Amino acid sequence: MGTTSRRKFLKGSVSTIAGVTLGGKTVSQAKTVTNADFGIEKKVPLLCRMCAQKCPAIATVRNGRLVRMEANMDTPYGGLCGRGRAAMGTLYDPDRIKTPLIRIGKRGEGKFRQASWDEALNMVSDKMKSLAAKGDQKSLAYLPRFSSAPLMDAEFFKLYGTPNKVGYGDTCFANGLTVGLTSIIGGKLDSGIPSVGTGTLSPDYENAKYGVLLQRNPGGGLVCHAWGNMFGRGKRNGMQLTVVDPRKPSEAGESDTEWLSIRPGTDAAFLLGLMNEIFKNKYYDINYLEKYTNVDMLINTTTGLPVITQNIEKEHKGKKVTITDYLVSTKDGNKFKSANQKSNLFGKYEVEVDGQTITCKTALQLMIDSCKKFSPEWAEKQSTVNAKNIRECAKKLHDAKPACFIERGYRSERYASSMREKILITQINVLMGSLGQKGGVFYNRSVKTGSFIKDIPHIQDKSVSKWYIKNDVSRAFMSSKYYRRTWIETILSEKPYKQRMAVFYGQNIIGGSSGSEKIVTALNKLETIVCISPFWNETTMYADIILPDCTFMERDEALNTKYKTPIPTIGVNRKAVEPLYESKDGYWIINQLAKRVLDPQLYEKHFDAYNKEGMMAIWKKQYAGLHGMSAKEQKTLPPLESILEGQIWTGEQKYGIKTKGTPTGKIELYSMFLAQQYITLKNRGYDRLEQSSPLPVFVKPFWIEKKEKLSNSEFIPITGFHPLGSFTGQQTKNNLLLSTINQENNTDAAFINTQKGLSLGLKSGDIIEVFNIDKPNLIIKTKVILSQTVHPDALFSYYGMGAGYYNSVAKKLHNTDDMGINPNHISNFTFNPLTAGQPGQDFIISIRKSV
Amino acid sequence: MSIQIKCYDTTPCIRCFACMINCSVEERLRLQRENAIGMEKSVQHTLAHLNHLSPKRTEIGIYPEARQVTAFHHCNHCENSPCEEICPTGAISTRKGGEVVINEDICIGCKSCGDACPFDVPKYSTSNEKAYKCHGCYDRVENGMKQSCVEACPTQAMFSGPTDEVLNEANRRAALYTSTTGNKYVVYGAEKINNFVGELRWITIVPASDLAAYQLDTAPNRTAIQWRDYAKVGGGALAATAIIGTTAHLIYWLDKRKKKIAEGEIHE
Amino acid sequence: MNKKIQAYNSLEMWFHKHLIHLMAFLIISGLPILSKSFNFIAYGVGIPINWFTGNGQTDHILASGISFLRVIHLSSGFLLTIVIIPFIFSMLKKINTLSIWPDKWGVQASVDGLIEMKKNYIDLEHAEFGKMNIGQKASAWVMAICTAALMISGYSLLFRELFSAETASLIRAIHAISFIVLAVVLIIHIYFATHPANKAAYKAMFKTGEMDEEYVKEHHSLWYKKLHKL
Repeated sequence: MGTTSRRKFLKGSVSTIAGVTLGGKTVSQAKTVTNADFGIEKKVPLLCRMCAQKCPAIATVRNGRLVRMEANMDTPYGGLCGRGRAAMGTLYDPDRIKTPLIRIGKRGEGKFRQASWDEALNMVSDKMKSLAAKGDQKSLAYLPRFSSAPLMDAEFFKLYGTPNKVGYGDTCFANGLTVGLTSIIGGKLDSGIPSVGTGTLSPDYENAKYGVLLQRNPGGGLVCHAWGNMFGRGKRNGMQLTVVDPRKPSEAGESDTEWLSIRPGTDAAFLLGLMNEIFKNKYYDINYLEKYTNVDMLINTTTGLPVITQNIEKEHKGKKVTITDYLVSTKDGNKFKSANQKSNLFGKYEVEVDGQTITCKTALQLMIDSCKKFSPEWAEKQSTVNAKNIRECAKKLHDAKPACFIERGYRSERYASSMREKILITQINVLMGSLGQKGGVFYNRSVKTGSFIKDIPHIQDKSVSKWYIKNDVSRAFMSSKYYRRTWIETILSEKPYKQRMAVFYGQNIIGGSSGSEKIVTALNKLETIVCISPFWNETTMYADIILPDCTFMERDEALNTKYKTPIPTIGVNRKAVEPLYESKDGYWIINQLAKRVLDPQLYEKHFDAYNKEGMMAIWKKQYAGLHGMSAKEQKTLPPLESILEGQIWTGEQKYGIKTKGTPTGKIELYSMFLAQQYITLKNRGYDRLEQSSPLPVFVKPFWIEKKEKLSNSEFIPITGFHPLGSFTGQQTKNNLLLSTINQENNTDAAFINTQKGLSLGLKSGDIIEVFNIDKPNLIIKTKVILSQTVHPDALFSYYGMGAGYYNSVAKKLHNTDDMGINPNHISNFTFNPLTAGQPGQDFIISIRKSV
Repeated sequence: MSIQIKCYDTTPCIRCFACMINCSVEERLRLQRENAIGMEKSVQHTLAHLNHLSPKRTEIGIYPEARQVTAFHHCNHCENSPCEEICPTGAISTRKGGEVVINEDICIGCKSCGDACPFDVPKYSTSNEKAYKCHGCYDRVENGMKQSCVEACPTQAMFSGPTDEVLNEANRRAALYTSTTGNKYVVYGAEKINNFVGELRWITIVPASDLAAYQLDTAPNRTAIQWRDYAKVGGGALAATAIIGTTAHLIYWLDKRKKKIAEGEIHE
Repeated sequence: MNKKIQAYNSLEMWFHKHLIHLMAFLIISGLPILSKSFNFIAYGVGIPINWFTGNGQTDHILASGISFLRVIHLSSGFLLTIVIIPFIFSMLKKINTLSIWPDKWGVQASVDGLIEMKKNYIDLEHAEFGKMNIGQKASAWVMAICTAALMISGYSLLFRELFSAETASLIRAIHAISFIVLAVVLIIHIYFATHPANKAAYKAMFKTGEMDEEYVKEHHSLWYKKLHKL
């Protein structure tokens, strides 16, 4: 007995010391552990928010602490990446924002004082009320990104009366991508602009035989549920890849993965070369084109519009829809398409219209003819991709079709040519007959939940974006939802009206949008800036009031159905641990603001249910209002309680072509939207008309327009996602579990081509100064790494990993370096033509060795 | 329990490092379970001995025919574990599932294991003065769970299970990749590598042409350790010879001296 | 009284005495790490340690013993370094007159030396020796070299982080191999040192430092001649 107790004492004392110093004894590696050691644990279903994608996860809680994050495998695409698995490093980050804060120093300086929730909330609501008293609610903009109160936050600001819910998609996934995709495949119109959801299409990695990866790296921009998962399956199934990228991404594969190094911003040239080769060798799937597309449409070669059209009514899923019927050539002469005769796909024809003879070609003929000048050799000159490789790539697509794809890209707002690249990508996928086919590119499915706050009074004021779409011809294709950089323009120009207050909910506009210098100037013009965020970022440094909401591990959330999965999915995020420090969950914060700001009757009407029943009120309304699923799927829905306990409901995957939404009801390889807009824009005197051409055209990025050839010390800043860094938020910035591995991968460094680096007298590990040649006063310091896997014209950095120019936030974070690149900080405040997306990497930087 | 092996497949691996993160998190969970230190504290400290996997990145080729290779540095759980062989205190043992583990209670931090390992795996931690390395999550495996790295892999580039099952799948994949790429893929470690290490319980699917790039040693050895072993045997024999020889000489000398004294050639 | 000749000075005697017990400590404490055959030593130390600390786990005995022996090994090695420094200096001072140098060089001289040894130890006849015979000279060299190798490699292993793992394991092998060679030579050295025929030398080394001139004249004739410049 004596010996045992003495031993226990020794062990105990060592443990105490270990708890304090971390020295001494740690875990015994070879002690037999029984089930009981794993058993006394609580499992909580979560939707991981270490990036933005909400992969279903299961948290393990032991002794009140979050100790493990795993994938929720109750879905065919279960998976959780390293970021999610390191979530406890973020939860227990001592550098989190712990209490409400009120600014005491200058904006950007980072000096704040602690405040009580009451004081901070009153400050925010007083300002909101004073604007409302003047009827000037529109001067408040709500900018959400990582909202912790879905179904209540945006609704509250609508109830308040501002039309300006400013999305961030113009700096990420929307504008160019949505217009590019939708003008070909069709989709919902938003203010007259085609806009499909960005998660609409996924390459069918799992079943593809061959794919071309460009503008995206599914490994680096890892979304386990479901892209990363499907990508892995594809690799295991023997999918072969060609990666077209200025930097060889290891994430796409290291052995037997072909890499074609491309000059930054010239993807369109490569794609045109590819299209030329496809046309020349008739690699396209002629049956697919004939069946599903408008390639037989007779086009007036002078106007680019269909020679004759008529509107007809058609039955679609029991509803009558109006579509555009068009003239085609058949062996019995010219007929309307609706006559259902076999039509000619090629050739030049004469059509009599009102006594005049008009020269026409079929759409396919017109495209083939206009693509003739873009030979692979021409493409090589523009893109530096070898003509031989372009030819091989086209051949491989042909051999694998329809189980082949051109990657649709992500975070695509990078160059003035971004929209044109998306158009070409979609057109080639259509040409190969892979759109909607197994192994090609398919339509994701999703369901929608019921909303919680309904019957919001109509807001008279128009949003800033709608004004720009109407009045600024250079933004004619802009999104009415995603316009945060155009909103900056509004602050500066006060057009159409003045902006006074901004509420950023988990959104970091300074770090995440290009032209930060202009953005900072604009923010300084605002009267009040409120940031709701658990973490420090560049924008919180400019806040007047910071409200710390808790992380996703500390709160219940509404049901979620927004997934990038082939199948509709319903999941929910539940609270794993109590909110740490004084942070509060988003619903509490919004509810408190609503109580203070809204008219008591309005508040009572919309928030009473929540005050009585809490989250259950939201969940019940959501579940009752589920829609978008098939009758068969409807039958498989479990009781709400099961979902709340962590069951993931999933529906079915469906291949097939959706032809709803385009004017002709066909996949428009020859886009009617673009053709019509071309004429409209011409009439409005727009000078970059080629952007709206329905034909294959080459559009240069801004940087090539400015300078055809870079000097030796000049580069184009390119970025890629790192699988252990969140590309969207600050969650991963100060996480020690992640930074341990990140250090081994030099994630905060800039990578340049070895030969070019040597010629500049640089070696790996040197510190360099990076600056935009148009803004030489904004200098970023970074470590440089010389690499054989980077194009000589490119300077690569992992997106969102470096501290950049606005690096004072690094002082608030112990595990963050104050060096490293963030191209946004030093880029120009320019806009992509027509879509008003951001040309985020479309500028020239110069580097020099730091002394 | 039969021998459990792990397989790493370089093809579907997307170099996301989820395995490495999960490994270090599980190690922290173990710390909390041992009542040594809670998760909320351990995540605030970098502790080398809580990371048992690491990427070793190199580049091969010259632009544009270049690529990066991420070798995966980890314990192979050798059948004839040289670290176990050399460990003077018996701290290293092989569990019933085949995991070669270091018992930290018994480890005295003498670093012998590091000398013996041809893969340069066991490392010494200055914070607890013990050797550490991957222990194959034997505690999870013996309780019916997957190793934490395997569990973390979103693309099933890592998988594990009983030897036959894993070998079948590994060979199937290698054959598929060989046919889709036209490049020969092999399963490194599936067959006995040499007498020094034997079979490996962590095998790797890799193109044969990339074995060296992935730092997969086809002749893992530590010659110095082998010399040491030979010297031990030879030294034992020599020492025995010396003792026998000197004793024999003493007997001979005493006898001869007695004779000489008797013959009067020498005096006492 | 017989006339005496100084064979060893007090420093040499002091050093040799400490060398013996430090070597003994080093060997005893090092053997269990060299080979599991010597685990009994570690058990011998570990059992009492665990009894005192109340550690009841039998699989910890070996570890307790070896970790204690490691402390002994390291501290003995350190003490040996301290002890060896004045010795080295004093040896360097008279480096030219040391008896470890061969009297004559060449193969024939070595064969002659061996013949003299045979005369002495096999035939028990009168042999012509200097202060040291050829066997002593050779073993002195081997012992000095092995000890140096052991010390250098031993210290290097303390700072093994400076080397690659491959090099560290090579150093470790050098440490082991030089010990094994030393051990074999030591057995022979101890045998001859304690041999009845060498009582006078033994007495000189451990007690007086002196030998009778007569004895020297008879048994180490070459040394006697050298001393008297004959």
